[in-house]
Amino acid sequence: MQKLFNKFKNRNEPRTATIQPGGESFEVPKNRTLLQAANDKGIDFPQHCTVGTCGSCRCKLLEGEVRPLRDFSYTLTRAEISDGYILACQSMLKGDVVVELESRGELATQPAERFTANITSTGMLTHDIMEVSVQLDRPLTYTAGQFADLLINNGLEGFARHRSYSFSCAPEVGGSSDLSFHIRRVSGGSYTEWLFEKDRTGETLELHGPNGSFWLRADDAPILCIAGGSGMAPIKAILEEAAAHHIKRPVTYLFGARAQRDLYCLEEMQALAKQCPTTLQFIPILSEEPEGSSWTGKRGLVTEYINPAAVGFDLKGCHTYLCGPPVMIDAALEVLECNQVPTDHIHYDKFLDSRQLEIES
Amino acid sequence: MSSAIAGNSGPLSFVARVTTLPHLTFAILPVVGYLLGGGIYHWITVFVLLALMFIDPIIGTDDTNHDEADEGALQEKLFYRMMLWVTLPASVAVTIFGHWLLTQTSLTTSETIGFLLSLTLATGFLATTAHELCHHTQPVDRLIGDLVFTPIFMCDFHIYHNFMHHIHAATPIDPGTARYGEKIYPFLINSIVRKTRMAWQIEKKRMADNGKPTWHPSNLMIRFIVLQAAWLGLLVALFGLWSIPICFVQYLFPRLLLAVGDYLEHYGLGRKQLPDGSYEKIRPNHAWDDSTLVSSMLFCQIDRHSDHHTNVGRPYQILRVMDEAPRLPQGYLTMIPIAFIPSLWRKQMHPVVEAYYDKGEVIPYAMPDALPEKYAAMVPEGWGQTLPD
Ligand code: FES
Repeated sequence: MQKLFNKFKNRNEPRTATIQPGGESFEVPKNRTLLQAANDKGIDFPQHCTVGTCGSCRCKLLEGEVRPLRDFSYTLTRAEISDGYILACQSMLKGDVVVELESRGELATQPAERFTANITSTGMLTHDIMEVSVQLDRPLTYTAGQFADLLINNGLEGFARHRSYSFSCAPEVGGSSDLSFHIRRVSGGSYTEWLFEKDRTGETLELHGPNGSFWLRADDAPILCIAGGSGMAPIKAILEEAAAHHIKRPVTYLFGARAQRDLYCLEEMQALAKQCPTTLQFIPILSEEPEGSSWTGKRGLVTEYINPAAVGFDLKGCHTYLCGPPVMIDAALEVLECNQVPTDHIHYDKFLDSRQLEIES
Repeated sequence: MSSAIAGNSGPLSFVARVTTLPHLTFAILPVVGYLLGGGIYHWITVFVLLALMFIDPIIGTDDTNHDEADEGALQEKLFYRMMLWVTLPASVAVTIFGHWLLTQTSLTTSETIGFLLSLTLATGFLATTAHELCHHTQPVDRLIGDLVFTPIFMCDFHIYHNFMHHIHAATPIDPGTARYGEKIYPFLINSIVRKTRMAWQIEKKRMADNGKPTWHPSNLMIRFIVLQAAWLGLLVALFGLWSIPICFVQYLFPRLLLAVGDYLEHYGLGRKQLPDGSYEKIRPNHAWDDSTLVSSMLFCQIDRHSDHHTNVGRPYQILRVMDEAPRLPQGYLTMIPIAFIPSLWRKQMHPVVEAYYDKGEVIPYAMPDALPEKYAAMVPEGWGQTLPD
């Protein structure tokens, strides 16, 4: 009876929520969601829609229990839910809770700005990927893994063509004025046709950046990178930076391409491997290389190599970074899930769009 | 969310002050027509709507944005929620009254048509209050929203709208976003069919994610079907089989209304694609704004659409007119009929859309070959495909 009475009494008492890392604590009145209470207290909590549809307020429940106002599974994946993720905007507390906010441990990123970029050189990396090097009007500070928007300003009125490309090199301390990007030719597309049509050295572009939150998270765990096509660029930048920081974590990098003519940056990767104090294994995998060709490396799909034997470490404890065509990412995510890689250790852009639902467009 | 706010800062827009009174009035009008003796009075709602359409451009816009200091208090005020709640008894009562009148009394053909239209308009415009409720955080509000959707058989909208439209608007994934040059009629059919299908897919996927079979009582679509079937069953039990075609008209009109609304709201606007093939976050630039007073009143301020999309959690009373948002040339009540005449629509809308494209804030989202060369050049190659470069 006393127990029941206590339970009843406790129902009306405010709960306490604690946010990690940092240990900030605040009271959550019984009729407020976790996010509302955090906002009430002026606590900086990531959010966007506030109605349980965008996933921005995702956090990990470390202790305690919550009652969802709207089923989390509309927005979170099954793996995320089983790993203890909740949506703060849809959570009523059943008692005191401790939640972890990943973004608190992340680096603060520079706000994006506009720059003028002069093309200093261009060069073919493969038959359809070009490296474009530019010089900016002033140094830009970014984090390896981020991207920028490039606008072609060729003087024609209304001709504002832009595409987003990842920085393909690690940034320099204090900002970089010399940048390079990997740009894949899309046949029939006016933007890349313009670039590929003739030598554009000396032309001026407009650059807007940095953008994105794809970067290496601090930890000791082994790293598995998976990239395909021009997804090479951000991974290369991340690994260059990691190597420069004398990273002590084992790294395996699976790079998927169609055939030998689609491979690039092989020398750079070898140089990086040498530079790394620990093991950096770079494994190119070709999916459409003709049988009997001179290729002696791995064949098949990248996903076939996501296993402990191929990567050389236990997948459960590793951190993964993926960049490439969504089909590849989706397939890789599935394999990672089967291998019980915790979702909070899988990094790619959080906004999945069509990939969240198998919907024909 | 920091956003430049257009309009005058004032206590509250007129529309926010009248809250759902216009909807409640529409719900009462069919009864008023009957009490006035029927006949031509059964057309009362149609006449009122025509009059409103006529005065809408004359009255003009009300760009008042509430004082930001009042926002917290306005947002929490129970009054605004209660004004939404009372639309539930209104929609149930007018539907029952309507079915009774249409099936149990003898009306002339003209009376039947007039009254049926009045009834349909009454419950149809209530879809906008149900829409508002389906966005609320409080489960009780969402439940009431579903119940307001029930007499018009539109519960599935709740799922599609929250988990598809609000996430994917202004991208090719969303069937509720119209392309520049897209004709209204195929758009309506396609969007109506695909929205329901998507609601199914979303629930099906959620069931699978939760390790449950599709046909499970926690599948909201199944609950909605049961709820709507029970409602239909009740009407048939009370008023006989003629209730079925009446329900069908009640079903169709609000769908068309909201689908035309969709057609206007994002016409031709596309979001930028990021390197991984996903789309940038939705910004006020990705929805057409309108603050024409009369239109706004009938649509529960949903025509302040850019704020609604950028800040989904904002209730209707504090939606703002946004500086960066593109503006429709006329109010909803004018643009909706215009949308049905493609040549007129193009004449009214295309210059405005193109002028907005010139600002370079959005990707032109268009039918193949519909764009003038200059704007076609603004579409990044491969835009709209999930594969990145
Ligand atoms: S803020 Fe969008 S899901 Fe919580």
